[in-house]
Amino acid sequence: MHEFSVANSLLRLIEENVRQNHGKSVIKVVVKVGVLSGIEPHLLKVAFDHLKERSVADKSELIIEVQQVLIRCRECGYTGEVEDYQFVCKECGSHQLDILDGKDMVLKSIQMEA
Amino acid sequence: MCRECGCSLPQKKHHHGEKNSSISGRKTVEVEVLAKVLDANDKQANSNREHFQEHGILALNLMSSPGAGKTTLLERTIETLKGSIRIGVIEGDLETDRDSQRIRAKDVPAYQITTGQACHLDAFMVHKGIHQLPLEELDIVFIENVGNLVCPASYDVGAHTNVVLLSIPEGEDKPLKYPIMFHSADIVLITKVDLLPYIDFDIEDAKRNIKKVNPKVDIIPLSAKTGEGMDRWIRYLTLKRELVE
Repeated sequence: MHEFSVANSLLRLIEENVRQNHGKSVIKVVVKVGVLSGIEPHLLKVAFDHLKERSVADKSELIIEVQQVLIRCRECGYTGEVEDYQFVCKECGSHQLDILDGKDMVLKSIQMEA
Repeated sequence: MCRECGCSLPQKKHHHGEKNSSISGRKTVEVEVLAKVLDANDKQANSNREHFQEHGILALNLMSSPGAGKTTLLERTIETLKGSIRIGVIEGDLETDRDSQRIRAKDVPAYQITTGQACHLDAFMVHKGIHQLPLEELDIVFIENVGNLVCPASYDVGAHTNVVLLSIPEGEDKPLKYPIMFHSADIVLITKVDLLPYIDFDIEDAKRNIKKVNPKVDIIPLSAKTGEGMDRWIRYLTLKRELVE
């Protein structure tokens, strides 16, 4: 249950950006959570909603976009999503895969009152 | 990386919506951020790695469920390498300093981090530990993470190598049940192989499951109790240590 630590980092990042943009209060926060980040979206929401009280984001809505693992095969160039964490190319069976997306949690955007 | 949504695809391949909008007459602004939420941790982790590197130290992050044998593995590793490779340990546990006491009993410097309720170590905690160890006198630092197959996988602590332990009593299906942890491994140690005659555990099946979620990972089955497989682990460590310099 590390989502509270993650939500705390997220709130710090939000506060920093609101300050830089001279915003007043936050309306909406959009994050992308990669399936490989190990962050559970539901628990992240629970943690965020709990921690946002007494912050500039206290009335904000958290939108979580779940990002599947996207790979590109080095052998045949196939690009697609990985299913069930099986890291094998669906086209040619190669294990030489580059992960394009789905590893990190990214704060995409903040909608705030100016 | 696509500057609009933070993925690795070129921008032309996908579309993004309008940025500015107004809600019920209020003046609102939408700011694109595109920052990794754990960016501060990742930066500290990189700084930790550089710190180890400057001292020619190999740092390994040991992760597993509680009771998989991390501390016992460390005890045997320290005994075997005594006199040739100098080891230091950063221990993470929710409570007690029992593990660091076990390590110190082997005449090796150990720093205990008690995380309280935190289920993982992060790069900042490890940084504190680094400065409690006599780095100029060390060749390898082990970071023994909190026993947990979930949370530690999300945090880069600044090690060179992620070592994940899977012990025989846990069952060969664990890599499929905890894919993110096993995907994060550079090497998986299948521990307590001395229990194989007594427990229904198919070691080939376990290896297949590990390779499904992490095809390029190295695997060494071993027993810290009987010493089986320990020679390969020691050779792995020795070579990895040489490659740091």
